[in-house]
Amino acid sequence: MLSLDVIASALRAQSAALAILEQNIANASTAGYTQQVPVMRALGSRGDPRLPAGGGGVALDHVERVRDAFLDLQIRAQLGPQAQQDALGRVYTAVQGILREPGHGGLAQRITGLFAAFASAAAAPGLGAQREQLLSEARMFVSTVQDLADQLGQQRRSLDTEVRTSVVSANGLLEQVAQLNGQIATMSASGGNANQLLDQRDRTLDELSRLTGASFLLDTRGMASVQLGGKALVNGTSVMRLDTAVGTSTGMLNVVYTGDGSTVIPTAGVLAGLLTGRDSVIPGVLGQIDTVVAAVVAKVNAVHRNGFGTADQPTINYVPGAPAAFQGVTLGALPPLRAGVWKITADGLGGLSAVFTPAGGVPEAAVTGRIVAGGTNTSLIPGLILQAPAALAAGTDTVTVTGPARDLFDPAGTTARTLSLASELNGPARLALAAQANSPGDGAIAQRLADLVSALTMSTGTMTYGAYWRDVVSTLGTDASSNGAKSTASTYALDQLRARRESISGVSLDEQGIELVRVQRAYEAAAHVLTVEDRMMGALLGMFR
Amino acid sequence: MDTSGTRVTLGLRSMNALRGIEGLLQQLEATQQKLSSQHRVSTPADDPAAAVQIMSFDEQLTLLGTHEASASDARSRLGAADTGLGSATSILQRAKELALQAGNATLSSSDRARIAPEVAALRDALTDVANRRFGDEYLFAGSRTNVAPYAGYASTLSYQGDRAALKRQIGPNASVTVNVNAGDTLDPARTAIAALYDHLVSGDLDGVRADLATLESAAVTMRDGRAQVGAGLARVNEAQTGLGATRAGIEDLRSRLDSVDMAEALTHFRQLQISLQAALQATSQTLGLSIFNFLR
Repeated sequence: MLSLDVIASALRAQSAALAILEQNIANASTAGYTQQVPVMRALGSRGDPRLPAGGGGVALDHVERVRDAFLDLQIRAQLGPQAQQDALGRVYTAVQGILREPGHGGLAQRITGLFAAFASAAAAPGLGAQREQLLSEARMFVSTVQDLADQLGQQRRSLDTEVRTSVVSANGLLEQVAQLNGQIATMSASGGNANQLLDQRDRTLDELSRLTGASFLLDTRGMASVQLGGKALVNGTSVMRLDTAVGTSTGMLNVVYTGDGSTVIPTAGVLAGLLTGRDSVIPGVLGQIDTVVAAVVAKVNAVHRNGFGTADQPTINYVPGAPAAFQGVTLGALPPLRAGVWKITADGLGGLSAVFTPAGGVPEAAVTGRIVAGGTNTSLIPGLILQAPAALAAGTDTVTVTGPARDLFDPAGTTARTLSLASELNGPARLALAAQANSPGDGAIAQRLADLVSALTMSTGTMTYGAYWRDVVSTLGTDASSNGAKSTASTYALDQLRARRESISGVSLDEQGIELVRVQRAYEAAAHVLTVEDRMMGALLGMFR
Repeated sequence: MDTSGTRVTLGLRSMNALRGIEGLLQQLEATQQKLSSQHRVSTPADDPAAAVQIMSFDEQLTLLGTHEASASDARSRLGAADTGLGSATSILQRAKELALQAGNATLSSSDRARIAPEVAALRDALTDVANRRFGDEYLFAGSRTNVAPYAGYASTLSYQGDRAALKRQIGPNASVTVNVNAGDTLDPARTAIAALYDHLVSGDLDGVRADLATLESAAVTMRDGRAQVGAGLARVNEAQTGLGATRAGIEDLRSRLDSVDMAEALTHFRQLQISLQAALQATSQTLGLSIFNFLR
């Protein structure tokens, strides 16, 4: 009779093993499924001295889950950085797409176009067409800059939204881990097979790594505790969720712990990549665009303020010296005066000498003339009528000539968002391209404006506008490229680790097929033994008929 | 990937197959992009150093364009000035001949009087030359290009323009003056011819003889002006040649940095296609194989 029990145990054990094999085969392509191996144990003789030792049959001792926990740790340590580089890479791609360099109507082309338009206007300042073209280029410069600022701002806001949704997802995963912790503990305590739940928890922990770069510990109870930034997010079955709070200085979301509200600074994972892109890469580029805009506005306005538009007349401010040389100085008809300062010296004997210092320039060679007592001189400085006193006196008087002092760009608009043309620039005639009034053929101010493109206007006088912006683009490109290289390397390392995990924990159909045959044969053999026992029993019983 | 001693599962085989195929597809996509856009460098990350060089070349080419346009404008203006001065020289030459004729003591005063109308015509013709236009602008008025150098046809006229030299930038550090103004270059001649007319009409023989000297010095002034224009034209010519050579050089360098070698790209594309085909074929044939195909 005992042998029937042995056979029964064999049949039971092989059936159980079969169930495990079937489960493996069914899940051969399930993501994250860990191979299960049925481990048999030979049963002892239950103390009967007549039977050979270990004669109690066989039982399914336990189901082994083929998993390398250390490999899991390594993979999770790699998942965080890889996801971070990937997320940051997407930001770099988006920013490069917005900037559209090299070429393709990016800021570099707009800057060059603006100053080239100044040069064209310098060659034909009287022609309405060139002035219209210049105004049009200036408008395009403004709209391109504003577009860049808008698009970069939008990109920042969409990254902000992604931060929020990532935190929501992370919270869901944290809850799952806590719940699974409880379920696994219960099932293991009652001796059940918790392998399915363990697989699920491993998948969740992987995803948490990818999202947040959190680290994990398996504690003595077999529960997974999740840590981020030194604080425990999951401990056993209790969860401290993450939250988002608007940062007062940035207006963007910070990730915070719900426990004490302090800010989380993730160092790996998708969140870390999003935050770096949102708070470092994009504001960096925006700040540099602002720097270029401020420099263009300041330098262009400084030159433009010295110029005259087609209808502008100069204003003179006469300051008599002590003693005064003249009785008065007035504007002549249609004066071709330039913006600047005239210092006119009379020697008291009728001799005159005048030195002109143009606005923003150096004093020029003196011009000389003569005047009679009580008379006027209109030839010393064309456009100025000098009135001598009744008795000639020696002295030096100052005449300041100012033009319309018109800005090209609104001086208050020194950032990309606020850049705009000056409101008084409401037509091409008001472009102050001439150095002197009533001189439609004069484009000297336009030429000085054009020359700004090669002047060292940026970085405390070491770079041109173009060179500065090229430097910005170069740095961005190098950063993007090196992040891409890191991402490629991380992905390769991760792939290698994942391949190893698959090799250890994956289901090999060939293996399972052969195991099936083995189990099947074992089952058949046990069944056959049953038949033999039955016949023997029958023969024995037949003896008593 | 070194697979010796590794346990190969279905999952591992499909992971590897997918990775290989995805890699090929990515390369195919990148090559296709290059072929259709004809740009080797589409984003700064593709090649940061080259991207910046390309941007620098683009800036240089645009600025070169402005110099080329300026040089072309300079050439037109100087050419027009030269033509005008040529006419003025002929006029002055004729006036000198008439002055010589009129200065001959053997001429009667009525003969002298008959010369006068032609001299008047020469005086007015020179006024017309001074008032010549270049498009919408007065050519010889300095920077006051909307004002005719001389108003009307009187004997005594004062020059209404200014003495400004108009310049054009024909290179990064090179500018050329593109005008002469009537006040400096033509006024002496006009005044001399007007004086000649007045002296002929009033029968002032001494005046006429003195006018010959004045006309001669006016001719020197005009010649100087013309020489200046000629020198300007020569500089513009030279500048234009230089600009053309510079442009060709920069465009060549730029295209070497950015353009796609079509033959190389197409060959690479074809190779990738063949590799992809082989990978797909191999995958489809081996991925389905397992012991279950053979167990009964």
